[in-house]
Amino acid sequence: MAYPSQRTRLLQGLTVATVVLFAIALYLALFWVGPERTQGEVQRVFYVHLGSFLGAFLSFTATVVAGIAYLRTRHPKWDTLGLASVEIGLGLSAITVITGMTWAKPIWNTWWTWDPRLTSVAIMWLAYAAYLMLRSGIEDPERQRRFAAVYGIIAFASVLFTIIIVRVRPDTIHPVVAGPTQADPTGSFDVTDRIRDTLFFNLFTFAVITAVLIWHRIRLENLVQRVSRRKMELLAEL
Amino acid sequence: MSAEPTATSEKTQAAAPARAARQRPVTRYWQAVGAIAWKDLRAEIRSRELINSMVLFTLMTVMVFSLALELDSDARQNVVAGVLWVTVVFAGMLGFSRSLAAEHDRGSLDALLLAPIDRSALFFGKMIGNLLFVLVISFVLMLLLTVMFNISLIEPLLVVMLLLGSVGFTTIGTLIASMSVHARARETLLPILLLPVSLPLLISAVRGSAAILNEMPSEDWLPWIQLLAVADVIFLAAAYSLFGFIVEE
Amino acid sequence: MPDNIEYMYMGYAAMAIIMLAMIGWIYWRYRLAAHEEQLVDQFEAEERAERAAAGRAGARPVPEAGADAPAVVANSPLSEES
Repeated sequence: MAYPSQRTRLLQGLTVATVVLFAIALYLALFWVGPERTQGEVQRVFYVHLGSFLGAFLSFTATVVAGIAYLRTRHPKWDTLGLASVEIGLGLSAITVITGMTWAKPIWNTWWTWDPRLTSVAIMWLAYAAYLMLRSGIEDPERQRRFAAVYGIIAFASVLFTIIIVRVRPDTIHPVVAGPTQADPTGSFDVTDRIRDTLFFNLFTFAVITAVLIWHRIRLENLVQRVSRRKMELLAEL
Repeated sequence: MSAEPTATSEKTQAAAPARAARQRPVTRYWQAVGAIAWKDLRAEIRSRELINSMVLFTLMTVMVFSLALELDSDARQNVVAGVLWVTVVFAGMLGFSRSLAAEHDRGSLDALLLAPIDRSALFFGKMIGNLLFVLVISFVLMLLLTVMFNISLIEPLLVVMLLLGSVGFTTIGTLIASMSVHARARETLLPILLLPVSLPLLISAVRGSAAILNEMPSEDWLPWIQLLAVADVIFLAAAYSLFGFIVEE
Repeated sequence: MPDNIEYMYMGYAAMAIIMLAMIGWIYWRYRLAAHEEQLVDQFEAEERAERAAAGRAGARPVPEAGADAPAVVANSPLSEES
């Protein structure tokens, strides 16, 4: 209702572009790039695995930015961004975990292992699930926004932990893509040019997907809030 | 290492000139911290309510662990670090929620907020009270496990580990408990909020302690001590700059 | 080259399910909220019509009431938004 039609058209255009991008990314990952020599077809999962983790990381970074901005400006729009980015981040990191599990079964011969990397991602997921619990547990809306902002900032510690744990503790069997590789990863592979190009295209696509999903989630939240506000006003009038 | 530490350092820089403008800021600040910690301590010395129940809780937890895990001497060597830290974490959580809930229910926090002191001084006062409490539990546990598990836990390195772990855990615990007291189901919300954020600390502490107890070379426990120290600094800085937003009313 | 294509299918299927669940959940809640807003609109319009009718009916016996009623409607924040 209140949105400039220009911005709505931009969102619609971006959404269509994202669908196209995603289709191309899937084509690259599933058909264009050949199967990896030592790992076989299951290696194709890796593009989505890394892409969705990048998306989750961007989302949770947005949560921190939104938290700081909310505490500074006290504008509810930042709280909406915080909520939207946490929800999208939870979904994307769920994709990371589940694709990782389907990859680990043939390569590591187990769905799950209490490896530092896997453990820390599970903790990260729980921390942001707790964020949603905190929101639903506090009734006063102003305090809810304030506490959510604070917890959204604190919870980022678990994201940092996920990223640095493999540097501090190289006894993980999880392959490290960026940065120094540890002594004995299980399931790393040689990166050919095609694999690299496909990976970068997927990373870019997932970054765009994340932004578009958060944008749509913000629109939903604005609508929900407007409806509940109007309902309250209507009830007050009766 | 992107947004969080940058934000806290910005906050600290913004707060510094404001405090420097006041007369004798350092002594006033730490006097306030000491007064609040001492208030909690005196109340506890008088009633001994919390410490008695916590020592009993600790004793029972250790017994439950040894019965449930059916520990022989080899197994004890491997799990003692885990038993130590899990007990500290659970006892600490009970303590934090008690300490903040009592403050909230009596309305004494509101009275403290009216006092002309920095909000973070209030935080550090409460946190030091909680820290002493966690340290007493850790000390009791060290003696208890040394006697009951027949493994000597009284080692300087382990004490360092316990200190670092307790500081980080108490900082984040006090911060989150001061949020969860406002929630509907505060007793269940505190562990849900606190455990995921403090699990990195807990993992580092358990792995490091286990390495120290098994007399591993220093490259096996030093990274964990470093990680604990870094986490402590991050949590202290976060608590310093965020606590004011939690208690403002 | 190991034969593990079924795990690849599993991985992509899991991704598709979660992605669709996310999108579907946003869409479903959006539909629900939009529907609710429609109801609010409808209710509001009825309310306004009722008031206008009451205002016209009340205008003959008590002239002040007739002058009052439209003012209330105009001041309500609901009418500003629509």
